[in-house]
Amino acid sequence: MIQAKQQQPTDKKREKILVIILLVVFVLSALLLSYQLMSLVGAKGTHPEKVHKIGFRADDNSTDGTIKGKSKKEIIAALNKKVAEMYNTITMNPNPIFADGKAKGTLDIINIKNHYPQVYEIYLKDTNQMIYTGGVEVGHKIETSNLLVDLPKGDYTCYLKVYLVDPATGDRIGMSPSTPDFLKVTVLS
Amino acid sequence: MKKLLAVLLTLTLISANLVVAFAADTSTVPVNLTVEPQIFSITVPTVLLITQTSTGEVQVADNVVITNNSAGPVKITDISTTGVNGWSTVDYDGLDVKSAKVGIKNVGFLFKIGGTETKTTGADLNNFASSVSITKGQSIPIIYDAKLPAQSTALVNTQVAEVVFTFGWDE
Repeated sequence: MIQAKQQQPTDKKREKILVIILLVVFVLSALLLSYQLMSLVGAKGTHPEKVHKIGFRADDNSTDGTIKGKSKKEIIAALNKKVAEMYNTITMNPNPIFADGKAKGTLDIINIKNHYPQVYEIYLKDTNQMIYTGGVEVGHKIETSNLLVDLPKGDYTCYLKVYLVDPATGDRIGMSPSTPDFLKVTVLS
Repeated sequence: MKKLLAVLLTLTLISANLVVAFAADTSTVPVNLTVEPQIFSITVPTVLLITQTSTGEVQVADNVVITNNSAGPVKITDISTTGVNGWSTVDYDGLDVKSAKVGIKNVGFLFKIGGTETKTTGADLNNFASSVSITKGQSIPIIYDAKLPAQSTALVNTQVAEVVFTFGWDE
């Protein structure tokens, strides 16, 4: 009985200490929770996976100022330069004549003023059948050549496609957007 | 009798001379023409470039010309406009790029060639209805503009359309 009475003050002291510790833990928890809530509000609009991150670290690659693309003048200058490289001068006889379907005809194709080799293709307007194709190097000409098909005697209305070719790869890098509608192939017999 | 013969002979000689003189007045000299095959030669661009900036503005080249190197004047008799690679040509005036949905593959074109203005009016359609003459040795500028909605995917040198100019002699 005496022992129980002697232990009472010690227990009360321990209880006080425990309450103080719990209060301190509660206050610290409350502060931490508040900080996290503040971070959530500040991170509104960002991706969900980034919300849990707290704090800020600048990208080492960031610099002062804003992002600026090319100016209008710079863009147009770049476009003009590219266009200037991609002109195509088409030169040929618009009425090549062939003695017969197997003979050579007067194509008079010339590749001058161009930066690239050219491929000429002649098609029959009625059937879209290709009746001639041939490549010509820069500075060269094709005075006469043969048709791909043995056409019978007659006049044939045709259209023309002319491609620029990359000499290194052989790839077609541009087609002339022009079709002379007066191209007529004549086979005499 | 001798006098009569002398008169007849004189008249005969005079008439003969007159015939020769008359023939000389009506003789014709043929003029023969040889025409070698007339060379057709034009210089045209193989590409019309468009850049849409990061803010949606469209910039185009401003140095595009067609040059006639042929033996005589030629004319542009037709212009065709066709969308490719999933793109469609649309009415240039009707396309409101400020409200058009982002990513729609529509493009409208305007061309000003030698005082003639041509606009796309729908899918593969335009209002080119005349012809444009280019004299021998002349270069005429092709002024063009394009309208397209903002794109959600960046593109690099992607073909969106093809334009075909058809030429003929200016007869």
